[in-house]
Amino acid sequence: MLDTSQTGAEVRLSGVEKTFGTNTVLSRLDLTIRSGEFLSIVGKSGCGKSTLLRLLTGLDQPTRGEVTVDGHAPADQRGEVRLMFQEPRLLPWASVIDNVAVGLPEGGTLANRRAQAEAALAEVQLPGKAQDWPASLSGGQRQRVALARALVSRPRLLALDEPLGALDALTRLVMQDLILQVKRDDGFTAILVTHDVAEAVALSDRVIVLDAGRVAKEVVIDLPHPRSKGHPRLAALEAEILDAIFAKGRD
Amino acid sequence: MTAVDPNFRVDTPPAGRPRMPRWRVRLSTWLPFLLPALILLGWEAGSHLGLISTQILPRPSAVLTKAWGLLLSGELLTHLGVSALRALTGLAIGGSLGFALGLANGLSERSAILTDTTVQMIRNIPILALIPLAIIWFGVGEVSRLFLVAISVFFPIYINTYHGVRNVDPQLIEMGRAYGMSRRTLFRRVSFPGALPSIFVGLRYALGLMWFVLVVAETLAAKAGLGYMAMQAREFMMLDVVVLSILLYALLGKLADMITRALEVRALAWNPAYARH
Ligand SMILES: Nc1ncnc2c1ncn2[C@@H]1O[C@H](COP(=O)(O)OP(=O)(O)O)[C@@H](O)[C@H]1O
Ligand SMILES: [Mg+2]
Repeated sequence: MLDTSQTGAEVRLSGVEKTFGTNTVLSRLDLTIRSGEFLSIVGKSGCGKSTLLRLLTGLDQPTRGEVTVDGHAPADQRGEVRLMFQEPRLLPWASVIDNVAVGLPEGGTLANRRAQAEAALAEVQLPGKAQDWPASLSGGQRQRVALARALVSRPRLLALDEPLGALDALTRLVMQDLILQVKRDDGFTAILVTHDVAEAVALSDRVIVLDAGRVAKEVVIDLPHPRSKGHPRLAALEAEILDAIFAKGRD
Repeated sequence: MTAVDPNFRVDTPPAGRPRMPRWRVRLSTWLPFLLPALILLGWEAGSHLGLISTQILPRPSAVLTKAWGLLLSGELLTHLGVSALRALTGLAIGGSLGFALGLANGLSERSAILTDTTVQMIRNIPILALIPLAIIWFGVGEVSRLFLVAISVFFPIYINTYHGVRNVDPQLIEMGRAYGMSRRTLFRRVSFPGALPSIFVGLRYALGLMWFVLVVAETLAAKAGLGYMAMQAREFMMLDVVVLSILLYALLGKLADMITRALEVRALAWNPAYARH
């Protein structure tokens, strides 16, 4: 729908270090994410994936080094950088449509906000639920609302922190397709943290393995979409990434 | 504090719950009043059969007749009005102070460190032990009574507001921050609605205490009010009026509870635990 190269943000990390007390979580990390790229980050639990996303979205500051989104500090980008969590984190006391509107920057007319929220809900294919309470939705539907909330401000960078981790396998596949579709339509830069290597390989242009605060491996997935699940090249890349994750664990 | 998890996960929609047939709705509305009605009937019958001496307990019909008489003379409404006004004024003063401090301490760590321990210490004093102090400070007048009511409602509202704000799901707070909510918006859209179920728990608890303290305050020294009416009646051995005033307290308490419940159902409609059955 839109030209990817124009709407996706470029992200740069240079010499990024993050420590909590004496615990060094990220050490001298250098990484460039192209405009419109779909990057996946995999790695063992506690290796600093969420911390990295928090730095990218301006929720936290690096101890040393610099993070920029299109040359600016990420916190400066009003609505242009969005984070989706593993949990839907919907306001239980707000209707679905109001939850989506949370993603809009403050201001603007009510009618305009409504229209934008409706459009985002249509984009995640959740019709007829605008006035429902989140409590009445299924887990997959809630995560769709969370995705609509992240998309409604038309972000140029979308960070996803294990967004499908809590869903059942079937719903997860459907949601993967949905993420690919909105990515193609909106053209944002996507950074996905996942513990599912098959998911990383199926969705992204590039996968990095994070270990001990550094990029331990980088794999480019140069296959066009749609990718068939059983493709031998995908299986080979998946095995290569899994090896990288566990090889580091042995030493 | 509250039994309601703000992060509840219920997969069946409350709206999808099958509606009860009309006659069952009507039955479930009236069924709770069956037992009180039976007790009154038994009491009346027992009284007529001479099983219950009217010297100990007047007949319900006698109480009702007396109530009618007092209603016509305007006396009943005067006392009721005075009591209700006292209760509401005390609730407004103590409740809003408790609410304000609860919010302040829930939102600001510094404010909590500064004041919470003090409040918790004062909370452990039985309120009725403050009566002599209140009388010395404010005399045996309206101010004393309001002081006692206000201080009694202050604590439950303070504690439940404080804990309500404190226990709002931190993941929702983080989401609000990540989505660029200002402090004001964060409070209005996340902290306050998240604390509301707990605040209601505090309010209902406060209402109970409010009537309790009011009775004592009115029997102490007052020139009007239900408690005063009861004390006067005791002096003249008017048993029916004594019983009437007790029943009226029960009725007022029930009324306050019903209003709170109705507010709760409206304000917490999003919460399946409060959805109207
Ligand atoms: N706010 C924090 N304070 C202290 N330690 C933290 C904080 N956030 C994360 N950590 C630590 O940083 C490490 C990486 O955490 P995280 O980024 O959540 O890992 P992952 O998402 O890869 O599982 C963990 O050891 C965790 O204990
Ligand atoms: Mg994580």
